[in-house]
Amino acid sequence: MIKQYFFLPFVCFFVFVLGCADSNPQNRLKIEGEVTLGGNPVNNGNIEFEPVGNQKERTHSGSAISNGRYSMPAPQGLVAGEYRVRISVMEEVPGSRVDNPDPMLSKVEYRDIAPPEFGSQTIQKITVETDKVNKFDFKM
Amino acid sequence: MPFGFTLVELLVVIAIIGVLIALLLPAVQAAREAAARMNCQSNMKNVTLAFHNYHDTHQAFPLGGDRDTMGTWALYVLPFIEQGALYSSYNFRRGYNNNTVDSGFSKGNQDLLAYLRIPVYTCPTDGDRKSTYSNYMHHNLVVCMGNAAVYQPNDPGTSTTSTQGRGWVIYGDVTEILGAMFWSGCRIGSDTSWSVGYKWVSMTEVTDGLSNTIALSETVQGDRSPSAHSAGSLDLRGLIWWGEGGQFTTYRSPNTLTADNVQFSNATYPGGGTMHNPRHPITASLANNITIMSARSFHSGGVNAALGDGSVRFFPDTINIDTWRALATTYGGEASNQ
Repeated sequence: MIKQYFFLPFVCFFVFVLGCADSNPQNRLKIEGEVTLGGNPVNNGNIEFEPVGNQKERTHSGSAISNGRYSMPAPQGLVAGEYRVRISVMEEVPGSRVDNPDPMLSKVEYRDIAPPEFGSQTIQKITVETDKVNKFDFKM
Repeated sequence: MPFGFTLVELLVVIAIIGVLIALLLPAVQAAREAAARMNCQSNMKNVTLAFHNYHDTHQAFPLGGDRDTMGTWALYVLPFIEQGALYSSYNFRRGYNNNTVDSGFSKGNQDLLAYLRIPVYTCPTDGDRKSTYSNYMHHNLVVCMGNAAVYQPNDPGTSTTSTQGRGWVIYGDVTEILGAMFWSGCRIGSDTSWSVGYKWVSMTEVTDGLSNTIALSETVQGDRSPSAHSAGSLDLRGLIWWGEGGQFTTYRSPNTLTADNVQFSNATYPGGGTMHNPRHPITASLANNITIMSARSFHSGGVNAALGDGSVRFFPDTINIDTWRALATTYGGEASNQ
């Protein structure tokens, strides 16, 4: 009988060890979504979330956008509340590329082609809530 | 019956030893990382003390960064970290990358300095990486230039990046710049007529208190790019001899997943493929070469930062953003309870 349960202390120990790790004490939530510009997925840009609501924990977070998608896992996500969204989309300026053996003499200009209402003069807001999938898509 | 182990007994013993080692290994790794983190903190403390010694001599903290390639704090404090010989061999009329700025001087070995590993500017948790750009050495320590962004505008009327102007710019939701312990040479005047201004901050100007103001934090040493000579494919984080490379701002949280906006850098290689590890993304600078570099590290869950009084603390990624931004300012009047 005893032999059948000899593994129990081990199981208890592992559960105990796993329980020690609370990597998300603020109860942040996973945030994800898709960003398109003129119907095309954005491949090089940033999305940032600035806390504007009256949430107690004021967290700033964001993610690089790649292949039209962004996502922040829960430990680096946002706590529930209201956020202002700012998006930047980097695009190479056509004809600006100069390749030189000295990389500092190489030149290429990038410009931010996100529309102002999503970028510099953003009016986009989201509300992050617990108990729901926080998926926010932006079509520019 | 001869004495011996059965196969099952042997397997059980091996399994138990395996479990014990599996339990031990993470602990060993954690101990190694804890030692490296303390080493990093001690480096920060030493450099902050060097800032204080610099202040004793010059009645101000060093300049955060001169124009473009013309030197940063990392040069000015060399005499105060026992590197006086390096300092006196450096010619301040030329950039660290050996570009001729003053016609009276020919190209020499000015950039020898930039190939050296200076341990006190390095975080041992990070690797030992050289830049794709001329194989210059990358380091980790960066000074705090406020809570918004720095920029380097184009020369008026042209698309040529100015080697003269750089300064602060308000970005995003930061509505007012309330000082920083380190400034860069910046443009003063109108768009068509301007000169370069410098500002050295003295202790009496830090009215928030030195123990409430960040002096130093860390960045990650940029990865090497496979296409060295292709424009915009560099990751210049950690090139602290370079004006943009020697600083960070607190606009974004430590270790944010938002890509750092850095000149000459881009998220994707021209031939396709994404740059850098997903934990520390990077992309091009914004309009007017607006550079936003966040505090970053390979420590677990945060970054080390030295405050102006020489104390070094670990700031978690989850820090309240208002607190983090307030810590960067010198006269914001915010009380930090961190």
